[in-house]
Amino acid sequence: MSHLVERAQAGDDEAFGALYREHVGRIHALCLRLAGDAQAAGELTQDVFVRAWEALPSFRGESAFGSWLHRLAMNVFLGKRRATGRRERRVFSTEEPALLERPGERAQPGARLDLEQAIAALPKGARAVFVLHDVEGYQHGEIARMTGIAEGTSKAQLFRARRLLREALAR
Amino acid sequence: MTCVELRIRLEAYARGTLPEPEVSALEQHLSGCADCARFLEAAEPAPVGLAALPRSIAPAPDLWPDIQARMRPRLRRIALPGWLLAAAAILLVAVSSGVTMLLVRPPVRALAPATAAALSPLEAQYASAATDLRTAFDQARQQLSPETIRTIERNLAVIDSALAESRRALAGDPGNASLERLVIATWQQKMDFLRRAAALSTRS
Repeated sequence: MSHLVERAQAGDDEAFGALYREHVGRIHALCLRLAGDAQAAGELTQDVFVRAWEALPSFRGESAFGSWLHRLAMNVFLGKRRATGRRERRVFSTEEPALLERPGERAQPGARLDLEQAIAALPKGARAVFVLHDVEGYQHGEIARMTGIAEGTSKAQLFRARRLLREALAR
Repeated sequence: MTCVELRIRLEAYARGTLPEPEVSALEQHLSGCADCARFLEAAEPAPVGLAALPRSIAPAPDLWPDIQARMRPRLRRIALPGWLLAAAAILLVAVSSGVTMLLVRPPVRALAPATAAALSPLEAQYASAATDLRTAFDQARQQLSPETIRTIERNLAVIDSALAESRRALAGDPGNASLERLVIATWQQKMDFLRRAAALSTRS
C-alpha cells in the first residue's frame, strides 16, 4: 500500500488531496461517459471522492488503489441511479432515438458529432452498457451482475448503442 | 422467439419501436443463444476510434475545494499497532529484568520512600518533560480506541512501578552506579513510550 494511501487512511487530508489529483482525471472520464453531461459528471466525481474518503479506512490494499476507486465510482453511479429511480431495464418507452438530437447536445449545423459527443447522447441504458463494455472492458456477465439487468439485455443494449453511434457518426 | 424472429426484430429494437413483450422475449433469447450473440457482434462491431478516447479528462473547474469542504474529519478508532505491542513486550522484559536484579541482590538498608524532594536535577527534568508528554497524550486520547488506551495505561503503570522500585532501591543504596543507570534507563523508557503514545494519538 502506498505511503500516500496510508497517510490518507490515517486522516491526512493533504495526502488524500494528492491522491485526488493523481486519480481525478480517470474517475471524471468514467463519470462523464456514464452520466452523459458535464454537470452530472462533476457531481458524481465529487460524490465518488467523498465516499472514498469515508470508505478509505476499510481499504485493505488487496487491489491497487486506482482499481478500488474505479469500482467505487461504479458503485456510486449505480447507487445514485437506483436511488433516483432512473434505472432503466426497459428504456424504449421513454428514450427514443430522437434523443440523439436533444437540443442541448445537438452539434453545430454541418459539424460531425465526434465519438465522445455521440456517446453522451446515447439513451441512458444503452450508454451505460456501451461505456462499461466497450470503453471500460467489462464482460456482459459482469455488467449484468453490477447493474442488475439480464445478460441478454446487456447484449441487446450494446447492439443498440453501437447501431445508434454508427448512425450518429455517419451524419 | 426464434433466431430468425430475433434478427427480423433487431432494427425495431435499435429504433426503440419494438413493443414491450417482444423486447423481453428478444432479450431473454439473447441470454441463452450464443449464435445470436455472435450475430449481433458481427452486425455491429465496436466503433473505430475507441482506443483514441482519452483515459483521463480533468474536470473544469477543479472539484477539490468542494470535495474538501464535504470531507468530515476522521476520528478513527485504531487498534494497537504492531510496533507498540513490540515496544511493550521489550519494555516488560527490561522492567522484569530490572526487578529481578533488585530481588536477587543481597539485602540492603531499608528502602526509603521516593519523594519529589529526593529527585535529582536530572530526574526533575525528566519528570517535567514526562508531564508535558502526558498532557499531550491526555488531550488527544479520545481519538484512540479504548483497547489502545487500556494497553498504554497498563504499560505506563508497569514503567512507573519499575521506576518507583528502582528509585527506592537507589535511596537504600546511594551511589550504586548500577541502580543509578537503572533509574535513568527507566526514565528514558518512560519518555520514549510517552512520546510514541502522544504521537500515536495525534496522528490518528
